[in-house]
Amino acid sequence: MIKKYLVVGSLFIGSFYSLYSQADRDGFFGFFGSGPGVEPVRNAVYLEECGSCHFAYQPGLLPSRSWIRMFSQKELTNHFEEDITFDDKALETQLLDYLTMHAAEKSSFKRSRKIMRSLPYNASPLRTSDTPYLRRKHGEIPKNLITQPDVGSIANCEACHRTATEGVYEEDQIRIPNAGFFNYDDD
Amino acid sequence: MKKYLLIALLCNNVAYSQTIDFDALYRSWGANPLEVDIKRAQMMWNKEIIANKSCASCHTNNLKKQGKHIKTKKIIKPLSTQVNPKRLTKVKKINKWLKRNCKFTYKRECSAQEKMDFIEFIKQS
Repeated sequence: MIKKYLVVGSLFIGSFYSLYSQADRDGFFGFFGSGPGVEPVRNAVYLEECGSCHFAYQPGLLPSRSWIRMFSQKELTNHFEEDITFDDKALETQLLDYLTMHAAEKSSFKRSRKIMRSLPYNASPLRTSDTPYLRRKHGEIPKNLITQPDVGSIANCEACHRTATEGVYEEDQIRIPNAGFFNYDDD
Repeated sequence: MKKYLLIALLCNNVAYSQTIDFDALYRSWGANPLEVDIKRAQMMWNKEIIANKSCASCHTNNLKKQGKHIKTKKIIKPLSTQVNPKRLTKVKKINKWLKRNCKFTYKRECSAQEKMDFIEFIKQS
């Protein structure tokens, strides 16, 4: 008798967890060791070397195969039209180590898992905005709001996500500059 | 106690005595420190060898003010050593940014003379 309840009970718990992990907003994140967004950057070298020029994208926004591709000599000499090859090879390895060790597939944070789930196994995009999950999330935003001078491009996370540096991309933290009456509606 | 104080003082001294020998740096690039021409750097500052790209497009014309990366919109701290004392204190950083930013702005590395002029221009700004 007790055995039967145990089986049914564990089934319930199992289905609850799978629903929970699919959920868009979860009230008690951290319950299963995951955070609400992506793991925040806690690496001074990365913040200095990469974050001086652009938003310090969290490693959990892309899989390690993307970071490895980005650090190939071919990509480093043309990093979004810029040559950023390292004179200090030790530094290069140090950065790639950090990025791959905290990459999306190794993260338990919600957005990292969602990015990974949406990504075909053989795709290694260089832009996190090219992942199917984030494409869908940003699909409804009018082009002119993204290209406006205050934002520049889809790569400027901080322009709208006010808590982006902490790895939090929740809807209630979004403020699109000059958006007027456009209301961001999360599908 | 006195010993530790002395050690602390010595350490302090080491930390603050890392002033760069700029003339030696310029010579190591292959430039002659006697041929510094700040006016040339000043003219280069606004020159768009590639359309819409000059030093000023990111760093502005007032080096005491913060700049903004034209592409990524990232805020760049002031270059002037007067308002930002951290500037021009590390040779490694000087070399890194001169190389990278010349390539970004001119699609080529800068000559030793140009680099020397720029550094002297920043120093007096």
